Amino acid sequence: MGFKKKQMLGFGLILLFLAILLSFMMFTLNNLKSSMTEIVENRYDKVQASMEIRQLFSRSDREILFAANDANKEERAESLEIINENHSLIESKIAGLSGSLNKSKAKQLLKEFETQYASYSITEAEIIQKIKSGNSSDNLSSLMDDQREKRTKVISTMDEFKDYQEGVMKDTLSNSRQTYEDMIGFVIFAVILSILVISVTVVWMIRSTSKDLQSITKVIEDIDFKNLSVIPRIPVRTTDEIGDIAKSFNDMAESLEIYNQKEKDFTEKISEQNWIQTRVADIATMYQRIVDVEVLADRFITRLAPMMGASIGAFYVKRGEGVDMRFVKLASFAGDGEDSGRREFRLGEGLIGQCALEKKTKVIEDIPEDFQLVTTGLGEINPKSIVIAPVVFEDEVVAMVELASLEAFTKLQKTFLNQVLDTLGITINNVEGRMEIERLLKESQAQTEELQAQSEELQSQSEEMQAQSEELQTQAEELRMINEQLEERNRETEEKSKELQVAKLNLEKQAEELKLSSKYKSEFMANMSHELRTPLNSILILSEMLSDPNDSKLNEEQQEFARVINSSGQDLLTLINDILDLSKVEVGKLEVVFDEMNLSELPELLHRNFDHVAKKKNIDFIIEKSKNVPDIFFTDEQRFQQILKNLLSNAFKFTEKGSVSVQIKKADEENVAQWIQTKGASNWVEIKVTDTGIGISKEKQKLIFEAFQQGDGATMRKYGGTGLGLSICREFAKLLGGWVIVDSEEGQGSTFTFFIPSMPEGFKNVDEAIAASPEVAAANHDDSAAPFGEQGGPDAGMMDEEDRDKAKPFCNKTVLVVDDDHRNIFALKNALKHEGMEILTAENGFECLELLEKGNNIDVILMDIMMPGMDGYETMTRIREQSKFENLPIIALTAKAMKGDREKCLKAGASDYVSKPLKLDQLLSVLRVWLTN
Amino acid sequence: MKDTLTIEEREDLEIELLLEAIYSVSGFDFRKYMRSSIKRRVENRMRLDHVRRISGMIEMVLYEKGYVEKLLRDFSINVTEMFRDPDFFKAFRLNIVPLLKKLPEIRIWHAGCSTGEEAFSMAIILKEEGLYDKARIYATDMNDEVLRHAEKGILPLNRMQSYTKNYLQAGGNQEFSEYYTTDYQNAYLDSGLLKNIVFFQHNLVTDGSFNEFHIIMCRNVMIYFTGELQTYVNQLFYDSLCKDGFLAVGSKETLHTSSFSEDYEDFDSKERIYRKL
Ligand SMILES: C[S@@+](CC[C@H](N)C(=O)[O-])C[C@H]1O[C@@H](n2cnc3c(N)ncnc32)[C@H](O)[C@@H]1O
Repeated sequence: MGFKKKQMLGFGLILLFLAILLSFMMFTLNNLKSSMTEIVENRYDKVQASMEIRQLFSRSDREILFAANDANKEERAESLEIINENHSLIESKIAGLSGSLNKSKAKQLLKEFETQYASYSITEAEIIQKIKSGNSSDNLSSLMDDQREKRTKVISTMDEFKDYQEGVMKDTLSNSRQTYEDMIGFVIFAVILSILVISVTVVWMIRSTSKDLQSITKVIEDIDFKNLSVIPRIPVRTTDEIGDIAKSFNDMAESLEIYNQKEKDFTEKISEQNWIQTRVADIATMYQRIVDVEVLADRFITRLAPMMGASIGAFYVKRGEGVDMRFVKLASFAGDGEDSGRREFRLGEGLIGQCALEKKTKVIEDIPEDFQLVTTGLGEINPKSIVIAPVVFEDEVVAMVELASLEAFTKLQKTFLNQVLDTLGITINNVEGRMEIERLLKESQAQTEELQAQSEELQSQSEEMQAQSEELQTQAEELRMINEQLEERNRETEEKSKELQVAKLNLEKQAEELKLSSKYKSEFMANMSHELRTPLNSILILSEMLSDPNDSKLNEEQQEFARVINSSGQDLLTLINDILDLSKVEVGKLEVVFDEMNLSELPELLHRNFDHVAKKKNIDFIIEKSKNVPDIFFTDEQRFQQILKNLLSNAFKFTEKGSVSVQIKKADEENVAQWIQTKGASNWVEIKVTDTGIGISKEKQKLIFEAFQQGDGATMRKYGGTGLGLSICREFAKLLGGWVIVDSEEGQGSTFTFFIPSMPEGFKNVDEAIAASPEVAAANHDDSAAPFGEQGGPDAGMMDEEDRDKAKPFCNKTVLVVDDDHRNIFALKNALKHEGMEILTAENGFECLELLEKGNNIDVILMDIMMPGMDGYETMTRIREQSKFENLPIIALTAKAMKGDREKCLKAGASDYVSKPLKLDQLLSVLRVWLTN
Repeated sequence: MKDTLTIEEREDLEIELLLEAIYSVSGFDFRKYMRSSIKRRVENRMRLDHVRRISGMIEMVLYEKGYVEKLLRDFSINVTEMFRDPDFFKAFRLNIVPLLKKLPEIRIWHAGCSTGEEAFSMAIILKEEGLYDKARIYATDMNDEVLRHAEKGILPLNRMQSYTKNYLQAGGNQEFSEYYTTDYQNAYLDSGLLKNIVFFQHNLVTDGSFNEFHIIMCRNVMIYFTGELQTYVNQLFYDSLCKDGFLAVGSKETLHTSSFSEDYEDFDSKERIYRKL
């Protein structure tokens, strides 16, 4: 029975029971109702009708009586009326009753009643007739009695009928009560029965369905969701819906199982794939950066073998072509660390050779014990399985791999092997390519280095050879010399002495000439300077006027120019004065007038002249004068003051901080007399000027008294001045019969000491003054610090001599100085002449080019950059344009600070540059460099 | 056993024995020098001294006083110049000097400095860049003789023109003449330039590392070495360089064919300047 049917049956049963129960109850109720109706309507009506009939009858009776006895006419009529009416009513009621009677007894009773009533009615009608006819009551009385009798009978019948009817009603009532009670009992029974039947049905229904469901649930609950490979099935016991569920479940379980299986297969495949892939990738990464096939082979086999579970492996790479072609073992793997496999084989040789020939992988499994291992590359092991595989690149076997395992190779391993070998071919090829490139690179690098080495060797060899050839030359020279010397010794000596004599004469003559020329020079200078002063004065005056802001028409800038002109003019004037003085001294034209002079006024004079300088430079200025210094002193006051002023202005010039002091005291005559004697001198005074300035190095001390010399070039630049001051001091001091010495240490300051005698008589002339101090004259070129026993000078002087000797190779070199500044030219000329060079000068670019053009043999050019007209850059460019001057050394003279200038110089073709102001040392060094060939 | 050796084989063997003898006698190891170069030097010596066979030289090495020294002098090629390959020094000044400014101290090693010109050039650059006072230049060579010459700071006058050119080409921004004075044979370098340079003997083949340097220059030295020896010396340099330090080799040399190319960054591949990673 199906679930549905079962349910339908169950519910049907319940419904059926309910229907029966209900219809039965309806039926009983209906019964009840009909008996009630019977009682109420039938019996009650009949009783009622009988009652009414009785009443009506009684009334008629009474009316008759009334009409018969008491009544007047009218009333009689009325009563008769009523009696008539009642009569018809009774008649109709009886008719009604008779129609409704069903019981035979009742019918009989009613018939009886009818008959009785009919007889009564006849009597009645007689009475009425009589009444109407006016008969007296006596006539009537018999009738009346008759009637009474009849009436009694009617009534009793009526009562009987009524009683009967009431009896029937009572019966019916008790009947229906019985029926009701019966029904109650039955209903209770029916309900109980229904409940029973229904519950049984329900229980049956529930139980029969839930049992199946439970068995399904149980099966489902039993499923192991973690392992869907086996799923329990539900036994299909029924064909109903539950059965369907079970069937569907079973179907599902089956497909689940299949799916699960598939998934498992898939995962397995994936993991296998993964296994392969990771290893392939692992090996592929290993390939990277390998640049050597041997390394590749080694790494490959040592990695591959364990992956393949092989205990022995060998890697062979093809070497050689054609007949030479063979496979050489490059690497092997052996679980026990020993080298395994044959060293090499040829195509077709043995099993492995066969595989190589066929380009096929061979797997040998289940190798029999007596298997001839010789045919493999691996020698004597007893492997379970062996795989021999070719590595193919572009359809050619480039390598062979052989692996032996003590177990069988799995399919997976074989697939893996195939995949790895697929890419190995190309890798081997790549690596070999890289190796080749690497090799070529190394080779070319080695060649490059070899070439470099060779060229260096050659260079050093050529240097050696040059040295050797020079040596040889000198040796040959020596030999020849010795011969010649032997031959010509006498003659030579003779000639030499002659030569010497001539040379001596020459020298003497030259000395004379030199003296003369220097005298001429000085004379010229003296005149010249004098001539110069006149125009210069006007320049000074005019420029001063121009620079005066109060009455100048110039603008500020121009006034500044004027001031510059003025101060430059002042400098120039000082210079000229100095030169003039010096020249005069040299020429002996300086006038010296010895006169009385008051020394006590000296400190005040000096203060007046230098206090402002001291203040400006923030330097102490101290003057000490000893008591024992005589007030009256005979000398040339003007020169005397000039000397002191020079010394002091020098001291201030070179002192940045500290003090300048003057000490005036009586000199120790004995000390002075030791090294200077002046005729007619008495009362020596010693004036010491001490400063805390930059000082003078020992080497320089001997130079400072020479004209145009100062501490050094740099000092000159920094402190200005002509460099003539000290020379003048010493020259003047000489004229006054005195002397100036210096004591100084670099960085510590200097002390200049001026010794001067009082000369009441004076000198007769200048010559006498000089002659008077022969030692002084000698000391003139010696160390000025001689009085203090320091003899450092001559040494340095010697060096100079040597240098000059060495200069001889440059004697005939010609330098072209291109500069528009005459002073520069002058200075350079002097310096370079001194070195023994020929000097040509040009004042601008055009002149320079002209000189070059003339074919002068110029060895080096010193080129100033800033020149009017054609400047240095352009000049150099023009020079370089001519191929014959391509290599002519040109040294540019640039301003120190101008870096851009230097680059421009180099671009224009300068070989080197030195910056201005020039340092003689540096210039000479550079010239030596550029004059060497 | 072969019954006869070819001429070349015999010569190779003789040279091998000669080098072995030199090593044993003097401690100078030329066994891993380029055979071609050694061969040329040996042949040159043979020509000069009229020796017929190399074996003869072996004998002289063993028995003749002073002969080893002579050969050593032959083997040491001391060609050098100031600002050699000016572009290198220019690159150095432009690109490396700025990186050195941060260092509190700069140590530079000139390996195979020969007569010192390279070290002097370096000193000049550092001076012009204001770095010289914190720099220490270690200039070494295996040849004691050249070192003694280098110490004096004397340059032959006849090279000065080309040195000036090199100096200017290398981006010199002062007057080259400020660095020297001359007489009629030589130029004398300013002593201030020499004050931070130490010269001492060091043989790359037999002596180890002696400090850690910011810059190592070994130019035109390894060209005389075989690849094997180059690798060995390169290892020495690698170990002696501090991190981010520079190694400079000669204009014809390279690190690329060595196993060290991975350990250095190409700082200036044209001028062969490498920077340790
Ligand atoms: C050609 S010079 C190079 C000089 C300089 N570096 C240059 O490039 O101008 C080569 C120098 O390397 C030196 N040298 C050669 N082998 C050496 C070694 N094993 N150890 C140290 N110095 C060596 C030689 O003595 C020679 O002075």
